[in-house]
Amino acid sequence: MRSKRYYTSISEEDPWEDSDWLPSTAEFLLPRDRLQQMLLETPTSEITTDHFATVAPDDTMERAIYRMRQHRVRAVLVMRGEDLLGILTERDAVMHVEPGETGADLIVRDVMTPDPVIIGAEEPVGSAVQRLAVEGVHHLPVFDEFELKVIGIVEQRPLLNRIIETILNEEWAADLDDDEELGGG
Amino acid sequence: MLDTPVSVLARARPVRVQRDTPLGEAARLLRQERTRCLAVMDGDALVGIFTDQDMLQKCFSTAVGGDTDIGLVMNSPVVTVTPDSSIHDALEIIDREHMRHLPLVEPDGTLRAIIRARDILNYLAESMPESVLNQPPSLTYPSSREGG
Repeated sequence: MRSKRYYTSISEEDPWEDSDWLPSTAEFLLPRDRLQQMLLETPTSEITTDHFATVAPDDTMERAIYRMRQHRVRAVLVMRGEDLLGILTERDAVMHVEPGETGADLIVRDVMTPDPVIIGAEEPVGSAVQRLAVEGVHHLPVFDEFELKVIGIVEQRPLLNRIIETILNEEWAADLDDDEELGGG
Repeated sequence: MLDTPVSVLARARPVRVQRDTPLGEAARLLRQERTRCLAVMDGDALVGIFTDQDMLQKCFSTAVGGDTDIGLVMNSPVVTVTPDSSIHDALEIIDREHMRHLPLVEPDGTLRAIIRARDILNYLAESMPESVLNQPPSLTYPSSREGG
C-alpha cells in the first residue's frame, strides 16, 4: 500500500510542477492526511487495552471501586465467564455513591449499564472515534469476531496518544504543515 | 486543523464552586449539572479542579465525608491554556500531564471554559472526511451464543 516515499523526490526541478497529478496514498502526507489514513487503516485492536479489569454482576460497588482504583482505570467490564453483561464506569460510581460512603450496600448489577455499545477488533480506529462521539460513551469493550470473546477495552488515553503520535511525531510535519495552503493543485 | 485555537472548543460554561464547598454539595453538582469536572475557585481566581476521577480515587471511603471541604481533595495547582493556545498545544499538555480537563483562562486570569479531551476527540471526528465517518453499522454483541 505504501510503495514509494514521494517526498524524497521534491526538488527545485519538480517533475509534477505542470501536472494535475498529486500523490494520494503515498507517504507524502500532511499531518491531517496522516491522521485520516491512520483512522481508516489501523485496526481498533492496536489501541485496545488488553489488561482490563472485570467484576461479577453480584459484586458490591465497594469491590468495583476497589478494582478501578487498583487497576487505575475508569471503567470495569461486568462479566460472567467470557460473557459481557455490562460496563461500570467511574461516572456510574459518582452517580450512585455519596462521598464518605463505600458502596458496600450497592450491587454492581443495579448500577451498571447493561448491553454496552461495543466495537469489533478489526474495525478501523476511525469507527471507534465515531462510535465514542455518536453514542456519547467514554469506553468501548472490544469484541474479537473470530474468537467470539471480549479482548479488551478502548479508552480515551491510548486513543488520544495514538492520534498525538500520528500527528506530532514526524520531524518534517511542522514544515509541511506551513505549506498546506498550497495544496489543491 | 491542529493550529486552530483551542478556544473554538469552549462550549459549556464551567460549573464553579468555592474551595470551602462541602463534598456532598460538590457530588450533587457533578450529578445535577451533568459534568465531570468542577472548577474550584477562591473568590474569582481558579485554584484547582475536581473531577469524577478525584471522587473515585479519594472520596469513597470513611476517611472523608460529605462535609469535607473540596479544597482538601481537589487537584491543585492546575495546568491551564490561554485563548491563543492551539489544539496542538492542548494535546501536548493532555499527553504530558495526563489530564482530561484543561481550564481555559483569559490573560487577565478569568476562567472562561474547561476544555475536555473529549471535545478534542469530537473535533477531530468532525474534521474527518465522509469516508471515515461512513463506516458500516455498529456491531452488536451476540446476546446468546452457541454453546454459551
